[in-house]
Amino acid sequence: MSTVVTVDSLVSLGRIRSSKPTIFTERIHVTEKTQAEEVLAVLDDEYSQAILKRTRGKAMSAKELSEACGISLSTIYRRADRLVNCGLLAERRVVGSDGTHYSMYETRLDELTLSLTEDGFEVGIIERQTGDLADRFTEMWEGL
Amino acid sequence: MWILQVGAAQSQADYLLLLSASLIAVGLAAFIVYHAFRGYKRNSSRRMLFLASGLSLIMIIPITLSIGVNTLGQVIPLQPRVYTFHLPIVIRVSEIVGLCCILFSLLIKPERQN
Repeated sequence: MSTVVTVDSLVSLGRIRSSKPTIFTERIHVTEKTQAEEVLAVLDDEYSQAILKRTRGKAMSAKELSEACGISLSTIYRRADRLVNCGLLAERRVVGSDGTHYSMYETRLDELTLSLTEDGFEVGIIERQTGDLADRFTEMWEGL
Repeated sequence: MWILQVGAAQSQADYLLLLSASLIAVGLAAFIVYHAFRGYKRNSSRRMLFLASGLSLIMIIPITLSIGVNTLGQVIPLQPRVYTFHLPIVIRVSEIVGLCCILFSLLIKPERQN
């Protein structure tokens, strides 16, 4: 159940905003203020692109990503951190069966627009909805 | 409201139509309850547990009961009082308990995990 795509947020003045405040800090980390340059820089990277492509509509752990893309685990973590900070990637902490915590990553980026205005470059991001239906349902009900 | 009464005059077509409508309703309810329950399991959220229980008591149990009793009524003759009193009262009680569950779910403090 991870194919719902909605227009979530539009961005102004080179900053990316997430329209949805997250209730659980462990679920998705969003940095409110990110510059357009950082988004463009991170998208220029082939490893970042590979991560975004692989996790489109499908949450994957860093280990799975490393195996699927043939990229070292430390590179995956570095790129994933940058992507999460830009709001392009969703990170969700899950507890494994042995009690250890690890992160699952899923692409948030659906569409990106770049426009040149008097203030400089503006980056607009349209997000896809990420996460499991059950988790979104919980988030909604817990938020009441 | 979920009672399927199958009188002698009621045609088989009516019964089948009601049965399929009830099955659709119970299927949709089961889908929502399933996700509420998964939300409880994945996030250990007590609110979701009570929401799932409440929805089951309001939707799934009454419909299942009315389908069950009416199907049973097709096989063995039941007293009219079963349809006019016993079944409705059990359904209403289930609905009341279910609504209380949902109300309770709204009143308890959400558990936030950090």
